[in-house]
Amino acid sequence: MTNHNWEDLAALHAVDALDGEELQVFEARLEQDAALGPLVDELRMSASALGASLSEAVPSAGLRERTLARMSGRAANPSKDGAPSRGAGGEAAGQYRSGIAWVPWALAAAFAALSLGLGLSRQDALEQLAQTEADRDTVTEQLATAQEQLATLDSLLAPLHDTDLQFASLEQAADQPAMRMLWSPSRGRLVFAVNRLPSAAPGRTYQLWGIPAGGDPVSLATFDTDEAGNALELRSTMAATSFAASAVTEEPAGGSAQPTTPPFLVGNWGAAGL
Amino acid sequence: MHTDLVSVVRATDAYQVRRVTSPPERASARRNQSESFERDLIERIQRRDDRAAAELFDTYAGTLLALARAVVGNDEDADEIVEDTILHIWENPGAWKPEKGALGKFLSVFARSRALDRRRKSERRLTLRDERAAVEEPGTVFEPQRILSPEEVLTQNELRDSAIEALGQVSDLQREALELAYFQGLTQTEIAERLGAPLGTVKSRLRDGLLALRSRFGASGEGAQ
Repeated sequence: MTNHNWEDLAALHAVDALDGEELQVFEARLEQDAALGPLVDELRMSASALGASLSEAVPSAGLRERTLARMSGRAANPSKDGAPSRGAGGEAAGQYRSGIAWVPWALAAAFAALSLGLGLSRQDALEQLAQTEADRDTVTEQLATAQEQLATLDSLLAPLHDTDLQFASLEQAADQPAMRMLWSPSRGRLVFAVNRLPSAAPGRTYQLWGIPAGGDPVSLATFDTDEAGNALELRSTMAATSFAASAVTEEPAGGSAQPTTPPFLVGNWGAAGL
Repeated sequence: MHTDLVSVVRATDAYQVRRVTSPPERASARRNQSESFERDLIERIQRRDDRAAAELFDTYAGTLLALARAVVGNDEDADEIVEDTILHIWENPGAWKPEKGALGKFLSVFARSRALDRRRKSERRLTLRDERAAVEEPGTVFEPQRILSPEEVLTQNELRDSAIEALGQVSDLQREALELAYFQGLTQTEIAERLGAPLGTVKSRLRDGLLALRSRFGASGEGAQ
Protein backbone atom coordinates (compact mmCIF):
# COMPACT_ATOMS: atom_id res chain seq x y z
CA MET A 1 0.00 0.00 0.00
CA THR A 2 1.37 3.43 -0.84
CA ASN A 3 1.87 6.30 1.57
CA HIS A 4 -0.99 8.06 -0.13
CA ASN A 5 -3.27 5.20 0.83
CA TRP A 6 -2.14 5.38 4.43
CA GLU A 7 -2.99 9.06 4.54
CA ASP A 8 -6.44 8.28 3.18
CA LEU A 9 -6.98 5.63 5.80
CA ALA A 10 -5.68 7.99 8.49
CA ALA A 11 -8.38 10.48 7.52
CA LEU A 12 -11.09 7.83 7.79
CA HIS A 13 -9.66 6.57 11.07
CA ALA A 14 -9.59 10.08 12.52
CA VAL A 15 -13.40 10.21 12.39
CA ASP A 16 -13.72 6.55 13.45
CA ALA A 17 -15.20 5.61 10.08
CA LEU A 18 -12.87 2.72 9.30
CA ASP A 19 -14.28 -0.74 9.80
CA GLY A 20 -13.67 -4.35 8.91
CA GLU A 21 -10.37 -5.46 7.49
CA GLU A 22 -9.23 -1.92 6.72
CA LEU A 23 -9.47 -1.03 10.38
CA GLN A 24 -7.38 -4.02 11.40
CA VAL A 25 -4.76 -3.32 8.76
CA PHE A 26 -4.53 0.34 9.66
CA GLU A 27 -4.31 -0.26 13.41
CA ALA A 28 -1.49 -2.71 12.82
CA ARG A 29 0.29 -0.17 10.65
CA LEU A 30 -0.29 2.52 13.27
CA GLU A 31 1.80 0.58 15.76
CA GLN A 32 4.70 0.36 13.33
CA ASP A 33 4.67 3.74 11.60
CA ALA A 34 5.65 6.55 13.98
CA ALA A 35 4.51 9.22 11.52
CA LEU A 36 0.93 8.00 11.33
CA GLY A 37 -0.02 8.69 14.95
CA PRO A 38 0.64 12.45 14.79
CA LEU A 39 -1.16 12.59 11.45
CA VAL A 40 -4.27 10.94 12.92
CA ASP A 41 -4.07 13.31 15.90
CA GLU A 42 -3.95 16.35 13.64
CA LEU A 43 -6.82 15.08 11.53
CA ARG A 44 -8.85 14.50 14.70
CA MET A 45 -8.17 18.09 15.71
CA SER A 46 -9.25 19.18 12.24
CA ALA A 47 -12.49 17.24 12.49
CA SER A 48 -13.30 19.10 15.69
CA ALA A 49 -14.38 22.00 13.45
CA LEU A 50 -17.66 20.11 13.09
CA GLY A 51 -18.35 20.34 16.82
CA ALA A 52 -16.87 23.79 17.28
CA SER A 53 -19.20 25.22 14.64
CA LEU A 54 -22.30 24.30 16.64
CA SER A 55 -24.06 27.08 18.45
CA GLU A 56 -22.82 27.21 22.00
CA ALA A 57 -25.07 25.43 24.49
CA VAL A 58 -25.83 26.78 27.93
CA PRO A 59 -24.45 24.77 30.84
CA SER A 60 -26.81 24.51 33.77
CA ALA A 61 -26.02 26.19 37.04
CA GLY A 62 -25.69 22.76 38.61
CA LEU A 63 -23.10 21.59 36.11
CA ARG A 64 -20.97 24.69 36.65
CA GLU A 65 -21.25 24.50 40.40
CA ARG A 66 -20.51 20.77 40.47
CA THR A 67 -17.53 21.03 38.16
CA LEU A 68 -15.98 24.01 39.92
CA ALA A 69 -16.51 22.36 43.31
CA ARG A 70 -14.62 19.27 42.18
CA MET A 71 -11.87 21.42 40.70
CA SER A 72 -11.64 23.48 43.84
CA GLY A 73 -11.42 20.38 46.00
CA ARG A 74 -8.57 19.05 43.97
CA ALA A 75 -6.83 22.38 43.88
CA ALA A 76 -6.31 22.08 47.62
CA ASN A 77 -4.61 18.71 47.21
CA PRO A 78 -1.57 19.26 45.05
CA SER A 79 0.90 16.41 44.76
CA LYS A 80 4.60 16.81 45.45
CA ASP A 81 5.48 17.68 41.88
CA GLY A 82 2.80 20.29 41.72
CA ALA A 83 0.63 18.21 39.44
CA PRO A 84 -2.81 17.35 40.75
CA SER A 85 -3.77 13.80 41.55
CA ARG A 86 -6.62 12.05 43.25
CA GLY A 87 -4.47 10.12 45.70
CA ALA A 88 -1.24 11.96 46.19
CA GLY A 89 -1.51 14.77 48.68
CA GLY A 90 -4.63 13.42 50.25
CA GLU A 91 -2.90 12.47 53.47
CA ALA A 92 -1.19 15.81 53.70
CA ALA A 93 -4.46 17.52 53.10
CA GLY A 94 -6.04 15.48 55.87
CA GLN A 95 -3.34 16.60 58.26
CA TYR A 96 -3.85 20.14 57.13
CA ARG A 97 -7.56 19.86 57.75
CA SER A 98 -7.13 18.35 61.22
CA GLY A 99 -4.62 21.03 62.10
CA ILE A 100 -7.13 23.75 61.52
CA ALA A 101 -10.21 21.88 62.73
CA TRP A 102 -10.73 24.42 65.50
CA VAL A 103 -11.29 27.26 63.03
CA PRO A 104 -14.97 26.61 62.16
CA TRP A 105 -15.78 26.12 65.82
CA ALA A 106 -14.09 29.36 66.71
CA LEU A 107 -16.00 31.14 63.99
CA ALA A 108 -19.29 29.65 65.17
CA ALA A 109 -18.58 30.72 68.74
CA ALA A 110 -17.70 34.18 67.59
CA PHE A 111 -20.91 34.41 65.57
CA ALA A 112 -23.00 33.23 68.52
CA ALA A 113 -21.38 35.78 70.80
CA LEU A 114 -21.94 38.47 68.22
CA SER A 115 -25.58 37.50 67.84
CA LEU A 116 -26.14 37.67 71.57
CA GLY A 117 -24.36 40.96 71.69
CA LEU A 118 -26.67 42.36 69.09
CA GLY A 119 -29.74 41.05 70.86
CA LEU A 120 -30.63 38.67 68.07
CA SER A 121 -32.09 35.32 68.89
CA ARG A 122 -31.01 32.30 66.92
CA GLN A 123 -34.51 32.11 65.44
CA ASP A 124 -34.29 35.71 64.23
CA ALA A 125 -30.97 35.04 62.59
CA LEU A 126 -32.27 31.94 60.86
CA GLU A 127 -35.34 33.78 59.59
CA GLN A 128 -33.20 36.58 58.22
CA LEU A 129 -30.92 34.06 56.61
CA ALA A 130 -33.88 32.26 55.03
CA GLN A 131 -35.26 35.54 53.72
CA THR A 132 -31.88 36.50 52.29
CA GLU A 133 -31.62 33.14 50.57
CA ALA A 134 -35.14 33.49 49.18
CA ASP A 135 -34.28 36.96 47.84
CA ARG A 136 -31.13 35.60 46.30
CA ASP A 137 -33.07 32.78 44.62
CA THR A 138 -35.56 35.27 43.22
CA VAL A 139 -32.80 37.43 41.76
CA THR A 140 -31.09 34.32 40.41
CA GLU A 141 -34.27 33.25 38.63
CA GLN A 142 -34.77 36.72 37.19
CA LEU A 143 -31.22 36.79 35.92
CA ALA A 144 -31.62 33.30 34.51
CA THR A 145 -34.69 34.35 32.57
CA ALA A 146 -32.97 37.45 31.25
CA GLN A 147 -29.89 35.52 30.20
CA GLU A 148 -32.00 32.87 28.49
CA GLN A 149 -33.78 35.59 26.53
CA LEU A 150 -30.46 37.17 25.57
CA ALA A 151 -29.04 33.80 24.52
CA THR A 152 -32.04 33.19 22.27
CA LEU A 153 -31.74 36.67 20.82
CA ASP A 154 -28.06 36.14 20.12
CA SER A 155 -28.79 32.88 18.31
CA LEU A 156 -31.47 34.58 16.27
CA LEU A 157 -29.20 37.41 15.22
CA ALA A 158 -25.98 35.51 14.59
CA PRO A 159 -26.92 34.26 11.06
CA LEU A 160 -27.37 37.86 9.93
CA HIS A 161 -23.59 38.06 9.69
CA ASP A 162 -23.44 35.28 7.09
CA THR A 163 -22.82 36.20 3.48
CA ASP A 164 -24.70 33.17 2.15
CA LEU A 165 -27.91 34.10 3.95
CA GLN A 166 -31.08 33.00 2.13
CA PHE A 167 -34.58 34.40 2.46
CA ALA A 168 -38.00 33.00 1.65
CA SER A 169 -41.49 34.39 2.07
CA LEU A 170 -44.40 31.96 2.12
CA GLU A 171 -47.71 33.73 1.72
CA GLN A 172 -51.22 33.15 0.41
CA ALA A 173 -52.85 36.55 0.31
CA ALA A 174 -53.27 39.60 2.49
CA ASP A 175 -54.66 38.77 5.93
CA GLN A 176 -53.97 35.08 5.33
CA PRO A 177 -51.31 32.92 7.06
CA ALA A 178 -47.78 34.01 6.19
CA MET A 179 -44.29 32.82 6.97
CA ARG A 180 -40.90 34.49 6.55
CA MET A 181 -37.63 32.60 6.84
CA LEU A 182 -33.91 33.31 7.01
CA TRP A 183 -31.52 30.42 6.49
CA SER A 184 -27.74 30.33 6.88
CA PRO A 185 -26.52 27.23 4.97
CA SER A 186 -22.96 27.59 6.24
CA ARG A 187 -24.09 27.83 9.84
CA GLY A 188 -26.93 25.33 9.46
CA ARG A 189 -29.33 27.76 11.14
CA LEU A 190 -32.92 28.44 10.18
CA VAL A 191 -35.02 31.23 11.66
CA PHE A 192 -38.67 31.59 10.76
CA ALA A 193 -41.62 33.70 11.84
CA VAL A 194 -45.23 32.71 11.29
CA ASN A 195 -48.26 35.00 11.48
CA ARG A 196 -52.01 34.57 11.32
CA LEU A 197 -51.87 30.76 11.41
CA PRO A 198 -54.32 29.13 13.85
CA SER A 199 -52.89 26.44 16.13
CA ALA A 200 -52.86 22.97 14.62
CA ALA A 201 -55.77 20.69 15.51
CA PRO A 202 -55.25 18.21 18.38
CA GLY A 203 -53.05 15.36 17.26
CA ARG A 204 -51.77 17.39 14.33
CA THR A 205 -48.75 19.61 13.73
CA TYR A 206 -47.41 21.90 11.05
CA GLN A 207 -44.37 20.71 9.12
CA LEU A 208 -41.93 22.86 7.15
CA TRP A 209 -40.26 21.31 4.13
CA GLY A 210 -37.22 22.25 2.05
CA ILE A 211 -37.62 21.26 -1.60
CA PRO A 212 -34.42 20.75 -3.65
CA ALA A 213 -34.66 21.38 -7.36
CA GLY A 214 -35.93 18.11 -8.82
CA GLY A 215 -35.75 16.34 -5.47
CA ASP A 216 -38.04 15.08 -2.74
CA PRO A 217 -39.05 17.39 0.10
CA VAL A 218 -36.77 17.33 3.14
CA SER A 219 -38.28 17.95 6.57
CA LEU A 220 -36.84 21.07 8.18
CA ALA A 221 -39.02 21.44 11.25
CA THR A 222 -42.34 20.76 12.90
CA PHE A 223 -43.97 23.63 14.75
CA ASP A 224 -47.17 25.03 16.13
CA THR A 225 -48.40 28.55 16.74
CA ASP A 226 -49.56 30.31 19.90
CA GLU A 227 -53.07 31.51 20.67
CA ALA A 228 -52.52 34.62 18.57
CA GLY A 229 -51.49 32.51 15.58
CA ASN A 230 -47.82 33.47 15.80
CA ALA A 231 -44.58 31.52 16.06
CA LEU A 232 -40.91 32.48 16.08
CA GLU A 233 -38.56 29.52 15.81
CA LEU A 234 -34.83 28.95 15.58
CA ARG A 235 -33.74 25.54 14.28
CA SER A 236 -30.57 23.79 13.27
CA THR A 237 -30.62 22.04 9.92
CA MET A 238 -28.53 19.44 8.18
CA ALA A 239 -25.40 20.51 6.42
CA ALA A 240 -26.02 22.95 3.65
CA THR A 241 -28.29 21.53 1.02
CA SER A 242 -29.57 23.71 -1.77
CA PHE A 243 -33.31 24.24 -1.61
CA ALA A 244 -35.25 25.87 -4.41
CA ALA A 245 -38.46 26.27 -2.44
CA SER A 246 -40.14 25.57 0.86
CA ALA A 247 -43.65 24.58 1.79
CA VAL A 248 -45.77 23.99 4.88
CA THR A 249 -48.21 21.12 5.33
CA GLU A 250 -50.36 19.88 8.18
CA GLU A 251 -49.24 16.46 9.39
CA PRO A 252 -49.92 14.02 12.22
CA ALA A 253 -48.26 14.99 15.52
CA GLY A 254 -44.57 14.20 15.37
CA GLY A 255 -44.36 14.95 11.66
CA SER A 256 -44.15 12.75 8.59
CA ALA A 257 -41.26 11.41 6.54
CA GLN A 258 -42.84 12.91 3.43
CA PRO A 259 -45.82 15.27 3.05
CA THR A 260 -49.18 13.54 3.38
CA THR A 261 -51.35 16.61 2.75
CA PRO A 262 -51.23 19.36 0.12
CA PRO A 263 -49.09 22.37 1.09
CA PHE A 264 -51.00 25.48 2.07
CA LEU A 265 -47.94 27.79 2.14
CA VAL A 266 -45.34 27.76 -0.62
CA GLY A 267 -42.47 30.09 -1.50
CA ASN A 268 -39.10 30.22 -3.24
CA TRP A 269 -35.70 30.70 -1.66
CA GLY A 270 -33.44 33.51 -2.80
CA ALA A 271 -30.42 35.47 -1.61
CA ALA A 272 -31.35 37.67 1.32
CA GLY A 273 -29.52 40.57 -0.28
CA LEU A 274 -28.58 42.14 3.02
CA MET B 1 -23.98 31.08 29.00
CA HIS B 2 -22.77 34.66 28.97
CA THR B 3 -24.08 35.19 25.46
CA ASP B 4 -25.27 38.56 26.67
CA LEU B 5 -21.65 39.53 26.92
CA VAL B 6 -20.91 37.99 23.57
CA SER B 7 -23.69 40.14 22.18
CA VAL B 8 -22.15 43.22 23.68
CA VAL B 9 -18.80 42.41 22.14
CA ARG B 10 -20.41 41.73 18.79
CA ALA B 11 -22.07 45.11 18.95
CA THR B 12 -18.76 46.90 19.13
CA ASP B 13 -17.33 48.63 16.11
CA ALA B 14 -14.21 46.48 16.24
CA TYR B 15 -16.25 43.31 15.92
CA GLN B 16 -18.33 44.67 13.07
CA VAL B 17 -15.23 45.68 11.14
CA ARG B 18 -13.71 42.29 11.72
CA ARG B 19 -16.80 40.51 10.48
CA VAL B 20 -17.05 42.60 7.38
CA THR B 21 -13.45 42.84 6.30
CA SER B 22 -11.61 40.06 8.14
CA PRO B 23 -8.17 41.00 6.79
CA PRO B 24 -5.51 38.36 7.29
CA GLU B 25 -3.50 40.47 9.68
CA ARG B 26 -6.52 41.04 11.86
CA ALA B 27 -7.35 37.33 11.91
CA SER B 28 -3.75 36.55 12.70
CA ALA B 29 -3.72 39.02 15.57
CA ARG B 30 -6.94 37.52 16.88
CA ARG B 31 -5.46 34.04 16.73
CA ASN B 32 -2.32 35.16 18.50
CA GLN B 33 -4.38 36.70 21.28
CA SER B 34 -6.36 33.50 21.63
CA GLU B 35 -3.21 31.37 21.76
CA SER B 36 -1.69 33.70 24.31
CA PHE B 37 -4.79 33.41 26.48
CA GLU B 38 -4.74 29.61 26.27
CA ARG B 39 -1.05 29.35 27.19
CA ASP B 40 -1.55 31.70 30.12
CA LEU B 41 -4.62 29.78 31.24
CA ILE B 42 -2.76 26.47 31.23
CA GLU B 43 0.12 27.98 33.17
CA ARG B 44 -2.29 29.21 35.81
CA ILE B 45 -3.98 25.81 35.92
CA GLN B 46 -0.57 24.27 36.59
CA ARG B 47 -0.19 26.72 39.47
CA ARG B 48 -3.65 25.63 40.70
CA ASP B 49 -5.04 29.15 40.40
CA ASP B 50 -8.70 28.94 41.44
CA ARG B 51 -9.68 31.76 39.08
CA ALA B 52 -8.32 29.72 36.20
CA ALA B 53 -10.89 27.03 37.03
CA ALA B 54 -13.81 29.39 36.41
CA GLU B 55 -12.19 30.80 33.27
CA LEU B 56 -11.59 27.29 31.93
CA PHE B 57 -15.21 26.30 32.49
CA ASP B 58 -16.77 29.54 31.24
CA THR B 59 -14.67 29.65 28.09
CA TYR B 60 -15.11 26.09 26.87
CA ALA B 61 -18.07 24.41 28.60
CA GLY B 62 -20.68 25.85 26.24
CA THR B 63 -18.94 24.57 23.13
CA LEU B 64 -18.24 21.19 24.70
CA LEU B 65 -21.84 20.85 25.88
CA ALA B 66 -23.21 21.51 22.40
CA LEU B 67 -20.86 18.88 21.01
CA ALA B 68 -21.68 16.32 23.70
CA ARG B 69 -25.42 16.81 23.28
CA ALA B 70 -25.13 16.37 19.54
CA VAL B 71 -23.37 13.04 20.03
CA VAL B 72 -25.18 11.46 22.99
CA GLY B 73 -28.55 13.13 22.51
CA ASN B 74 -29.40 13.73 26.15
CA ASP B 75 -28.53 16.36 28.73
CA GLU B 76 -27.59 14.03 31.58
CA ASP B 77 -24.84 12.20 29.72
CA ALA B 78 -23.73 15.42 28.02
CA ASP B 79 -23.27 17.14 31.38
CA GLU B 80 -21.11 14.28 32.64
CA ILE B 81 -18.95 14.43 29.54
CA VAL B 82 -18.37 18.16 29.94
CA GLU B 83 -17.52 17.70 33.60
CA ASP B 84 -15.09 14.87 32.81
CA THR B 85 -13.45 16.86 30.02
CA ILE B 86 -12.93 20.00 32.08
CA LEU B 87 -11.60 17.95 35.00
CA HIS B 88 -9.29 16.02 32.69
CA ILE B 89 -7.41 19.13 31.59
CA TRP B 90 -7.55 20.55 35.13
CA GLU B 91 -5.81 17.42 36.40
CA ASN B 92 -3.54 16.97 33.38
CA PRO B 93 -2.70 20.42 32.00
CA GLY B 94 0.46 19.01 30.47
CA ALA B 95 -1.60 16.78 28.18
CA TRP B 96 -2.23 19.75 25.89
CA LYS B 97 0.61 20.51 23.49
CA PRO B 98 0.15 24.02 22.08
CA GLU B 99 2.10 23.20 18.92
CA LYS B 100 -0.50 20.56 18.00
CA GLY B 101 -3.44 22.96 17.95
CA ALA B 102 -5.69 25.16 20.02
CA LEU B 103 -6.80 24.10 23.48
CA GLY B 104 -10.44 24.23 22.38
CA LYS B 105 -9.73 21.65 19.67
CA PHE B 106 -7.89 19.41 22.11
CA LEU B 107 -10.83 19.52 24.51
CA SER B 108 -13.27 18.82 21.67
CA VAL B 109 -11.34 15.72 20.61
CA PHE B 110 -11.39 14.43 24.19
CA ALA B 111 -15.08 15.22 24.70
CA ARG B 112 -16.13 13.62 21.41
CA SER B 113 -14.22 10.45 22.23
CA ARG B 114 -15.96 10.21 25.61
CA ALA B 115 -19.31 11.00 24.05
CA LEU B 116 -18.97 8.34 21.37
CA ASP B 117 -18.05 5.75 24.00
CA ARG B 118 -21.15 6.73 25.95
CA ARG B 119 -23.30 6.63 22.85
CA ARG B 120 -22.07 3.21 21.81
CA LYS B 121 -22.63 1.81 25.27
CA SER B 122 -26.20 2.99 25.28
CA GLU B 123 -26.56 1.83 21.66
CA ARG B 124 -28.59 4.85 20.79
CA ARG B 125 -29.03 5.50 17.15
CA LEU B 126 -30.93 8.76 16.90
CA THR B 127 -31.29 10.39 13.55
CA LEU B 128 -29.20 13.46 12.94
CA ARG B 129 -32.38 15.46 12.82
CA ASP B 130 -33.38 14.31 16.27
CA GLU B 131 -29.97 15.12 17.64
CA ARG B 132 -29.94 18.52 16.07
CA ALA B 133 -33.31 19.14 17.64
CA ALA B 134 -31.89 18.06 20.98
CA VAL B 135 -29.22 20.70 20.62
CA GLU B 136 -32.00 23.22 20.34
CA GLU B 137 -33.63 22.22 23.62
CA PRO B 138 -33.54 25.29 25.82
CA GLY B 139 -30.93 25.25 28.55
CA THR B 140 -32.02 24.42 32.05
CA VAL B 141 -31.36 26.95 34.75
CA PHE B 142 -28.82 29.66 34.26
CA GLU B 143 -26.54 30.80 36.98
CA PRO B 144 -25.54 34.40 37.08
CA GLN B 145 -22.16 34.39 35.43
CA ARG B 146 -19.18 36.47 36.27
CA ILE B 147 -18.22 38.97 33.60
CA LEU B 148 -15.99 37.34 31.02
CA SER B 149 -12.75 39.00 30.10
CA PRO B 150 -12.33 40.17 26.50
CA GLU B 151 -9.70 37.44 26.04
CA GLU B 152 -12.18 34.72 27.03
CA VAL B 153 -14.85 36.06 24.67
CA LEU B 154 -12.29 36.41 21.90
CA THR B 155 -11.09 32.84 22.41
CA GLN B 156 -14.66 31.53 22.21
CA ASN B 157 -15.34 33.49 19.04
CA GLU B 158 -12.03 32.57 17.45
CA LEU B 159 -12.66 28.83 17.74
CA ARG B 160 -16.18 29.01 16.31
CA ASP B 161 -15.41 31.54 13.61
CA SER B 162 -12.40 29.60 12.35
CA ALA B 163 -14.45 26.38 12.42
CA ILE B 164 -17.23 27.93 10.36
CA GLU B 165 -14.67 29.38 7.96
CA ALA B 166 -12.98 25.99 7.58
CA LEU B 167 -16.30 24.27 6.94
CA GLY B 168 -16.83 26.73 4.12
CA GLN B 169 -14.14 24.77 2.26
CA VAL B 170 -16.13 21.54 2.55
CA SER B 171 -18.86 20.60 0.08
CA ASP B 172 -22.37 19.81 1.25
CA LEU B 173 -21.99 16.12 0.45
CA GLN B 174 -18.64 15.90 2.20
CA ARG B 175 -20.03 17.63 5.25
CA GLU B 176 -23.05 15.34 5.34
CA ALA B 177 -20.81 12.27 5.42
CA LEU B 178 -18.48 13.83 7.98
CA GLU B 179 -21.35 14.76 10.28
CA LEU B 180 -22.72 11.22 10.22
CA ALA B 181 -19.29 9.91 11.24
CA TYR B 182 -18.46 12.66 13.71
CA PHE B 183 -21.75 13.05 15.57
CA GLN B 184 -23.34 9.64 15.14
CA GLY B 185 -20.21 7.52 15.12
CA LEU B 186 -21.24 5.72 11.94
CA THR B 187 -18.60 3.78 10.04
CA GLN B 188 -18.00 4.24 6.34
CA THR B 189 -20.12 1.16 5.58
CA GLU B 190 -22.98 2.41 7.74
CA ILE B 191 -22.80 5.84 6.13
CA ALA B 192 -22.93 4.29 2.67
CA GLU B 193 -26.03 2.36 3.70
CA ARG B 194 -27.63 5.39 5.26
CA LEU B 195 -27.03 7.58 2.21
CA GLY B 196 -27.55 4.88 -0.39
CA ALA B 197 -24.19 5.82 -1.89
CA PRO B 198 -21.35 3.56 -3.06
CA LEU B 199 -18.74 2.83 -0.38
CA GLY B 200 -15.96 4.29 -2.49
CA THR B 201 -17.88 7.52 -2.89
CA VAL B 202 -18.37 7.80 0.86
CA LYS B 203 -14.67 7.19 1.47
CA SER B 204 -13.78 9.94 -0.96
CA ARG B 205 -16.20 12.38 0.61
CA LEU B 206 -14.88 11.70 4.11
CA ARG B 207 -11.24 11.88 3.05
CA ASP B 208 -11.53 14.96 0.88
CA GLY B 209 -13.74 16.75 3.38
CA LEU B 210 -11.39 16.10 6.28
CA LEU B 211 -8.31 17.05 4.31
CA ALA B 212 -10.05 20.31 3.37
CA LEU B 213 -10.73 20.93 7.06
CA ARG B 214 -7.11 20.13 7.87
CA SER B 215 -5.89 22.81 5.48
CA ARG B 216 -7.75 25.45 7.47
CA PHE B 217 -8.41 24.03 10.93
CA GLY B 218 -5.53 21.62 11.50
CA ALA B 219 -2.37 22.64 13.31
CA SER B 220 -0.57 23.07 9.99
CA GLY B 221 -3.51 25.01 8.61
CA GLU B 222 -3.69 27.50 11.47
CA GLY B 223 -2.84 30.81 10.06
CA ALA B 224 -3.87 29.83 6.55
CA GLN B 225 -5.96 32.45 4.84
